[in-house]
Amino acid sequence: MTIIELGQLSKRFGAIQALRGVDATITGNIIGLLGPNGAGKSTLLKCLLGLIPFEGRASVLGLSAATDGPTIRDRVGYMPEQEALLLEMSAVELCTYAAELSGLPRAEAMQRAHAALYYAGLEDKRYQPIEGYSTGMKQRVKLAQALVHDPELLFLDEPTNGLDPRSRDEMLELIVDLPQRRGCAIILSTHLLPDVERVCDHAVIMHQGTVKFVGTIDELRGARGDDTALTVEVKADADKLAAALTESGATCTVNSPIQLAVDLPAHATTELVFRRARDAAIQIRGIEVRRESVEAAFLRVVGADKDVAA
Amino acid sequence: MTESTIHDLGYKRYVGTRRPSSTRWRVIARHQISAGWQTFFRYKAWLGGAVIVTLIAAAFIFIATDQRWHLGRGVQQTFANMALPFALDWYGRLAFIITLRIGATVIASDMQSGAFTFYFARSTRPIDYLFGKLGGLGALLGVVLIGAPLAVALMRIGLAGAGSTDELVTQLWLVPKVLAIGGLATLAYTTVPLAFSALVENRRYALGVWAAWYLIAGPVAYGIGRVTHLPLAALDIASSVKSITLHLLDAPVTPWGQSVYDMPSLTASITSLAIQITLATAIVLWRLDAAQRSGVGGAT
Repeated sequence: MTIIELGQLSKRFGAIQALRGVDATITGNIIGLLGPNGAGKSTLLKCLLGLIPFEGRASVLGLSAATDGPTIRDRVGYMPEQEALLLEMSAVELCTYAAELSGLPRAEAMQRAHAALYYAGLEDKRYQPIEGYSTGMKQRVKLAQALVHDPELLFLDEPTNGLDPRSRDEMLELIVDLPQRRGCAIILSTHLLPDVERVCDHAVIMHQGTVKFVGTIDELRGARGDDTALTVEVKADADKLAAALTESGATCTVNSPIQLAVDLPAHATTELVFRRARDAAIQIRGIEVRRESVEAAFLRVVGADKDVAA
Repeated sequence: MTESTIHDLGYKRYVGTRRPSSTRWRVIARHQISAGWQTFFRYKAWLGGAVIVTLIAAAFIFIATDQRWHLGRGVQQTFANMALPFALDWYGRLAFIITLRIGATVIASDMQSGAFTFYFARSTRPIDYLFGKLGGLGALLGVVLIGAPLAVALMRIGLAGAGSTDELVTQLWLVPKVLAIGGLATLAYTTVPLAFSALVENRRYALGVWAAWYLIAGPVAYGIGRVTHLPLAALDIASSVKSITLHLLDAPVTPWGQSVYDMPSLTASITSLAIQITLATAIVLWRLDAAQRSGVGGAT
């Protein structure tokens, strides 16, 4: 299902062109929104929520961002990066208030506030004032208030910022769980590329007001379009196989006695590996295409500019 | 964290109807009222003060009915007739304290805590926020500035009812007059501090600027206006409300001896309050509009 559709989306702030005729069709369950500082992510987000006027076309969940902003915001949840909580309230009061502001009746709002806080792991702390919460707990409240009105799409802005490793793991588990259990899609805006690698199935990369890449994470990591970079696992004697493949024009690096990295010569296929292994009487345990890390792919897509802040 | 530690209390997609967007301001108003009600010295104490003033006014009306109050400048009034101007004077003071405790920090607090993102990432519009805050604060102040004087007016009418029909008919006019005075005062005491809290992002400074406007700038304008150009005195909110009270209730002198002739005219007072209310509302809307446009953003 298409979540977001952009057609020639442009936005200018005085002399600064924040978005330059962006065209994109965004699908997926958990989509990483990536880009260096000033790439246009915040502006795109404001356009999508119908908060600022723009030129071109933008639709979210089939609704026009230009004319249906309030309806979109009822169907979308937003977890901000910065502190955006009413600190005097308890978590359950805040979430109830949030749900009511999104149009839910009071009884339903209260019930869902408890459920959302329970889901976010704050079940025993939900009556305490938020101002006494730790950073991790505040992040959980922010997630709960974004979820409480039952959105179909969630914008999560740096959800793991300031979290210790354990809390970060727990937050990422929740993010992965959300589309499965609640059927909502997620747009994850983050600078932490390992988080994207771990939880996202799609990515959108922005740079200098344009979308540089839209697609699956696998497409991003294998975007060079070749399957000639392989990791080969053998039962033993990886060095013997490396020698045989090198004779056939491949470039090999032995990682361990049972693993080697192979770059096949042009036009060669995995058949070459199997043939040379058979000739050398070496048992192959596994072959997989070697992909770039998301970080390497990201740097490649944005041109590895010096100011890339990822 | 393992999968088993994620709890979901029987999640179901919400399929019911949502409250129309145009009624969301009521949620904000209700929240504002409950926030005001939370601690004793935010509102309850001053409401208690208004109750005490009302009881004293009741004593003036029913116990000291015909005793005469020497107002200075040779003017005398019965306690029964001076009860309402006396009470309105005190309700104004209490309303000012309430604005210090709640009104003057509302928007500054929300700006400081980043709450605008909380509001505007939802379908809340600036106008909903404005109506909600005005509605909530207006309700709290209205109890003191409209409800309490109305109670005093009704007591005065009740006393007149025990006398002649002519007096009753005359006193019945107190109701629309009190509603007009209280309504205008409520609007002024609600919008103007809210505007200061919209102009100054730090809640303490917002509080200080509002207090300075009311307690220093207003009386200075009144003092200058008295010796130069009387309409200038109408810049003082308290004096304007006092002037409207004296003019509408036909009281020549305040309980503290200030003559109606030392006050800005009725027209100047109403005009000044109307301008301040309009300007304050515009400032708040401008700030909210800017906050909506900039309050939501992605990673930086």
